[in-house]
Amino acid sequence: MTAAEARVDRVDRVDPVDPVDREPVLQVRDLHVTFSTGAGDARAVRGVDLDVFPGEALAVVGESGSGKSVTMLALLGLLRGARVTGSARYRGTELVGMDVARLRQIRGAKVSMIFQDPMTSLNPVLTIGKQLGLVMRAHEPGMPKRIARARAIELLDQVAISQAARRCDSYPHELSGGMRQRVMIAMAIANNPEVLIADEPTTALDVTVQAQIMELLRDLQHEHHLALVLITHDLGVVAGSTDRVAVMYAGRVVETGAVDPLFGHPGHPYTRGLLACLPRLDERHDIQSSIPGIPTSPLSLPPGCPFAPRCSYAEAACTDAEPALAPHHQTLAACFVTTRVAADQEVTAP
Amino acid sequence: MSTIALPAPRARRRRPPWLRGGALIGVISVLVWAIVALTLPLWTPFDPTAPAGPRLMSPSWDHLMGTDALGRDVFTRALWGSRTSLPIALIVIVFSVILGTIVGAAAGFLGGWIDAVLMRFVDITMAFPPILLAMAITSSLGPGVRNALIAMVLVWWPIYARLLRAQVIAVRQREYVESAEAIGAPRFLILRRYVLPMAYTPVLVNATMDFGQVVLLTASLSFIGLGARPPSAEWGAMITEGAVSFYDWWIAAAPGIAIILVVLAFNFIGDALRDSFDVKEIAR
Repeated sequence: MTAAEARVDRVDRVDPVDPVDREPVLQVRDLHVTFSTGAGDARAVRGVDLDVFPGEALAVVGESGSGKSVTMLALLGLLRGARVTGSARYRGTELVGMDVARLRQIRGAKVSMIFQDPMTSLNPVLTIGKQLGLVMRAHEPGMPKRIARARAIELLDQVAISQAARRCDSYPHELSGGMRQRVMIAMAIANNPEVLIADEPTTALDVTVQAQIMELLRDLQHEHHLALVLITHDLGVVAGSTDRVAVMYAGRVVETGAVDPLFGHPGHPYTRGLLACLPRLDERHDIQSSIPGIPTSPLSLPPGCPFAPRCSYAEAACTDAEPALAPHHQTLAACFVTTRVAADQEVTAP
Repeated sequence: MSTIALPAPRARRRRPPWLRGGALIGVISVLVWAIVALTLPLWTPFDPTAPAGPRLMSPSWDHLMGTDALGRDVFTRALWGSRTSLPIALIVIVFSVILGTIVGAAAGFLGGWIDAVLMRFVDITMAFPPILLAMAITSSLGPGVRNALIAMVLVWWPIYARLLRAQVIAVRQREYVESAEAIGAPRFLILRRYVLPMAYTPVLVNATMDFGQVVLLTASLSFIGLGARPPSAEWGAMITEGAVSFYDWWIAAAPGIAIILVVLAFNFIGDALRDSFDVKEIAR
């Protein structure tokens, strides 16, 4: 049994997921992504393990540059000029190294992805009905245009766009940001995928619209038994709408587990730091707390734990070796000092 | 309390940019030239290749631009020249744009070694002054309108290839292209419906502007005897004839004015097109 498999077993034990369907729809093992730059190799993702189970909502959390988007782009083969190694399987089919023509059959139809900025994610020269039609006919070449249009209207209706039949003939610039994100979602689910990866889907939107979009994603997830992978740095969004969380730092998963235990008893100092950054309504804060220091550069990683330079719990051992994920409370955390973090948590937590 | 006077809203709807100012002049003169070229045989009193009066007559009411060394009516011949120059320019531009589009789109979209190889061809072609290369190709194929035409296409297409390649590379990195890829759209569909429509405007603008340049190049090739041969009424060839009898200025002046008018008209249109497309992001 390899170390990766051993870790999976532990994930299985600690994660309270739908017990009926235990076969992960997406299984990422030891994924590495390296970019060659003029200044040397940038190791954006360094051995990520992730499981996405059917119908669940998984949040991938981390700062900019922690490798969360790159991981998802890599498994769909959407990175140009990157070296991707390791394994990413969709229902047992290896995606890493798969030829592009076959990957294209997976993209959209099995695993779909939407991006951060709906303002620039739609083709400005085609009506949204046409775009939806093109996407559907890309996977079902024989579909008559008339049927594609009817289905497009149906989809727009599903993502709660009023007057769907009229909006079908609108150009993207005639729609608001929230509506465009709804259209993006409609396009992403047009071919009934099993997994929807949403890369910070609400970051570019107004706060009120953010809530609506999250609600829509939740609804679609339940209606279609869709596995939702939510890439975000907004922990507020995570708490309300996902089942499990994977926290990423410097290209690795540093802590993973179900939402409640992870939020209640974070094992990794980084998770704790992230949670401390959340403003709370019931406490008075004169200064918004933040994690000191800046994220490590993927070009020059320190020896040992990449978080050690910013970590207030760091001890000598932390700079010698990089910790692997190990059980802590009900989560898995990659940290040598989880017990001290936890002890501290008991003292400070209300 | 002070009030701010707002400018009254414009009652008149603005004309589209390509019908304003210089562009209007350009559009009208191109239309006039097109009509002249198409209907010329129906109403000219003189035959462009047969003597119409005494030799070397200066401009008069009978012969608006005089007659040449063979007694042919210079005004008629100058108009007749449009029947050669305009179709040639149109064919050269259309074929250059087609060739340039294929090469530029392939290079920009596929990238890698295909891009490198195709662009080296472009570099090689563009390293020579167009007129020189066109001369070399025409003289090796043999003088004549058809060969001049082939030569001009071979000289002209790299401009569009390079222009389109740069645009395709820029548009290809737009987020909406990436998100179409993430949803599994096939490559050719992405190129055709997502990339090319946003990459094409500079090519169209340049093609319009270049129309005048190609008219000029055609005339230049004929002037040095590589294009249309002397008996035919072609502007460059006519100027050559005029150069022989230098003091009978009207012989060369008439085709010269014709060239100026055509080139100017297309420059006006191209300019206006560029201005109206300048706000490329308007549809975002």
